[in-house]
Amino acid sequence: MNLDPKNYRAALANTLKQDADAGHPEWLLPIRNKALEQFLKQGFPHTKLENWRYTNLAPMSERSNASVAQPVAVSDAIVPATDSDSLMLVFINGMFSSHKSSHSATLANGVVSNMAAQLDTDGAEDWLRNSGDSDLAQLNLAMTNDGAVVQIPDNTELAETIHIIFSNTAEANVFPRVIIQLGRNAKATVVEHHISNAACVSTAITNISCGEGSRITYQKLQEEHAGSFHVAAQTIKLAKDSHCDIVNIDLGAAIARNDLRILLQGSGAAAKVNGLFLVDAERHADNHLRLEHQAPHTRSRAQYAGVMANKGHGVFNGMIHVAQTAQKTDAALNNKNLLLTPGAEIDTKPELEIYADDVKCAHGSTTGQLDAVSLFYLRSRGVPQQIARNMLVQAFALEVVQQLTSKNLREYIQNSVEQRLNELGAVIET
Amino acid sequence: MLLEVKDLHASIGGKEILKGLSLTIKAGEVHAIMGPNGSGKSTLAQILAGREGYEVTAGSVRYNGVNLLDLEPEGRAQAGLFLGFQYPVEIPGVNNVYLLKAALNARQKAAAKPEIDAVSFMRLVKEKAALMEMDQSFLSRSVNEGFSGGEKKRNEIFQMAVLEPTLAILDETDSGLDIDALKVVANGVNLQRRDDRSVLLITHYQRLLDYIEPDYVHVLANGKIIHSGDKSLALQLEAEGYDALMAKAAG
Repeated sequence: MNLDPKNYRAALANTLKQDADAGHPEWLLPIRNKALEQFLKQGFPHTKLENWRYTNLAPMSERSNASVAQPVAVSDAIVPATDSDSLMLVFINGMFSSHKSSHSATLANGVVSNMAAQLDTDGAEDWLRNSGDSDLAQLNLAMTNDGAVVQIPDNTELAETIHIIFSNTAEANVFPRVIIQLGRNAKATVVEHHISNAACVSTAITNISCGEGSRITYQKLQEEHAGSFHVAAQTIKLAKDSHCDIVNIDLGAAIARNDLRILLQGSGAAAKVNGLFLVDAERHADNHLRLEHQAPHTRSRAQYAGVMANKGHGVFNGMIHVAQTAQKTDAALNNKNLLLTPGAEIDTKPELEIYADDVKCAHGSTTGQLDAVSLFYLRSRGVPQQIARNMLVQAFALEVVQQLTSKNLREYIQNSVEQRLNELGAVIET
Repeated sequence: MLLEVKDLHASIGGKEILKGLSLTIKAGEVHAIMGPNGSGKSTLAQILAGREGYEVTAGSVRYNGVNLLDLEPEGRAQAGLFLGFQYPVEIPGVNNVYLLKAALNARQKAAAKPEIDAVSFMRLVKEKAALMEMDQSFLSRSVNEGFSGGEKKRNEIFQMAVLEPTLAILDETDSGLDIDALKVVANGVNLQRRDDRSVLLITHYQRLLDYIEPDYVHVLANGKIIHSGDKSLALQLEAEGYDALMAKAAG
């Protein structure tokens, strides 16, 4: 995977020019330069790294290399419909579209805005610089054009859902960034939706910090074009008594990777995670989850469901890490997988790293095929084979889909799953 | 002739279960098949419904003149066949009513008719649920999820009432039912009876036949029908058991 530094430096030069043209603060320049150089030194992660063992990013790095310095032509973007009362922030090929977005929320001292408009505010340097420590965080920091900033003040409950849409229409590199900060006892629901109709290369970073007693519902939907590459990482920090309720759904891209890292830093913090990935054709979806229990009396529940078909390849790695001081941790992690055809593949590895001695931790993983008896039962009532199979797959995914707070979004995802299942045709094995 | 089974031989896992079974059912008739355990009663039901895993090595099955064994399970159902399972499976996540709607619409589609509209469908479902004395709450539940054995059997007959099959094959529908549930189930079956519809009851016990009066009773033993008669045969079997008849067939 030989990166051509020339291409990336040229791309960075473009980005810096855009910064200057837009009047962005000067502190951006050295940060971006440093980040790029760090990325060029590391390069894209390779399969000799344990965390990347099953996911070969060579095709992504090739495409990234080739297109990173290309200009992007904007064409018709898909903007999924959202609930009528939601606050929309729409980005097309990484650039904010105020025209397609809804008016910003009127919050007393709070912010729901695109990132570029917030770069002059206090603390911006801190939240921008903090891109986390995932493998492509530095690349994102160097190149990110725009994203969303959500800041909810103490004791504020935002009733409307914030719907952030990253819609891509070109075979280009995009670097979406999302920053969410909840004050004490704050509450918000954020949907981060990635969708594309061209084979883009997306490197997305999201950082969420939750103040004491706050509640975040965060739902990420990935429906990139079948030729796209999508590598995303989220870092969520939970202070004392704060809770996060996470849904992560991967339906698209040629190669998709999602790294979700949750740090339960204060006692009483709790995390609930539901993940779903559907991989067909020759696609690849890799979900890494890391639940770090760093304080006592913290709780986590994680359930990921994978559906693999044709030559689809799913990867799941879920780690529960319990620090020595995290006594009375209560953690459980499960991955269930459905293989619809021979040739479909899943590599699943739940892990426990426990350093405290008074804890309750469980992990499990199951892999199977569609239940032949259930299929026959449905068919014996006259339901055609393909529809019967779809019904059973939807039932399998239902536990996760049900966690989406918006009824419209649940139906949207079920339709999206249905569409992909129909494209599979009548090929099933029992 | 609604159903014509001729000299059917079938195996599973290399073991022959049906050893030349013949059976004829005309439209409007109710037939009962009784027999000792392991005789092949359920195997017959499963093969008629199209369950995979069985190998038909000889014989034929014609349904309304069509070769039934050539059809997929859904094709047989769309042609009017229904199987009431002995052990109905639980399918969490698939709604009871959603299944029925899909089944009805599949049948409409097969007959080149439009899909059933939502209002008519719900009316039909509620009517049949009331008939089967089923709680309306079950409408929002998954197929057989959390149902007791008796409730599952009742659900089978409820589905049958909604789908109105021309040939209903009921595999030990009476097992696990108390007297009250049995009466409800039997009523459901009897209300279905029409000149153009037939029922094949597979049963262990004569009791069900007190409530659903058969036109013919057959004894299935060692993979074949060894004796046929009218409803009085069931009473005879109840009194004498299968041994005498089986000895006569062998000897």
